[in-house]
Amino acid sequence: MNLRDYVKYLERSLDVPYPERAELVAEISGHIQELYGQFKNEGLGDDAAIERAIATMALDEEVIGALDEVHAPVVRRALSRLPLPVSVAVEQIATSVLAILTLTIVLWKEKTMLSFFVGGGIWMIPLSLMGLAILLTAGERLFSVFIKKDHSERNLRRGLLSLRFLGYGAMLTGILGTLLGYFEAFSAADTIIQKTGGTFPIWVVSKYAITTTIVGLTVALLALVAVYVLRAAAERIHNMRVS
Amino acid sequence: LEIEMDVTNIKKACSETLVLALLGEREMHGYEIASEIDRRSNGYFTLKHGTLYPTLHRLEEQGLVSGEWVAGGQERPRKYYRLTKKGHDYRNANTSEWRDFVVAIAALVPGVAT
Repeated sequence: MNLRDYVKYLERSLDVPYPERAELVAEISGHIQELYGQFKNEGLGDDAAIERAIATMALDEEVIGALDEVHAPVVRRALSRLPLPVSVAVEQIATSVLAILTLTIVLWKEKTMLSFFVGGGIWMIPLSLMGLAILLTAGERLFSVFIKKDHSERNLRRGLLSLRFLGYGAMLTGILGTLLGYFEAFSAADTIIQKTGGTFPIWVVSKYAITTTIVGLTVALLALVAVYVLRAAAERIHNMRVS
Repeated sequence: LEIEMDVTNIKKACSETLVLALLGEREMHGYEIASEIDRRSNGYFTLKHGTLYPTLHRLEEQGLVSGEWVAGGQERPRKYYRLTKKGHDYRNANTSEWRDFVVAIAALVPGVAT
């Protein structure tokens, strides 16, 4: 192993938030390089000097654990002092704060918000569920990355796929709902006008555009679901891999 | 084996005292501290150098030492540590504790004081 690889390995092994982790790794890697220089001056070859420098540092599991503990963020330390069920409950409440806040606003502005939801029709159901899922996922991610400061590679990636899926899904569902609404309204208007012997000009010119966009959006939503399921499976398998 | 364990534990407990004692003389960076401990104790306190950092950073967090990055010309930047006022007070109290400990051991275990 060369020094650069060792430093990379060290950086990955630590569970210290950034930017502290970068500073810590810079300090320790400087120390290893001093040792390497010392052993080179004592007449050791490159590989032997590296090996001895790493052995002298002896950054084993115990030392890494001690460094993680010293640099653990305040919130993580406070949570670890609580009994497990309490800390789990506190964490769940904290991560749901965005959702709780939004629901509070909805209930507070009850009349206008409810009419807004009812006005949106049946499409508001999946949209509301997706919105709630986004709020819960985003809340958990924000808490984990910015407050608990878990900056491990795996944690930084967690939930991003779901958020992307939910975001695109909500956007496509919203547009689909809009177009289905237009379709329904224009069809109804056209039927009424046809009974009087006329035609509804907007419907005539926009019928094909609306229909093809509805089909396109439906296909896109199906593709999005397929991509999400397959990517989630791929990530799960990737995380199970030993190396 | 148990005697060895005792000494190992005492050595571990000493690391904070040794670091505070050295930093009480002048500011030093991590490699310098570890080398000085090795040299002055004739290898008796052969530290795993890595163990120094949890100790140093804990002392820094407690406000007993303060660290500062210094970039010197072409040399790579190094983090130098120095004792704070609180650290000086703590070191004096700590030295006094160790003095009492050594005196008590010397009084109880024949041959230790020689």
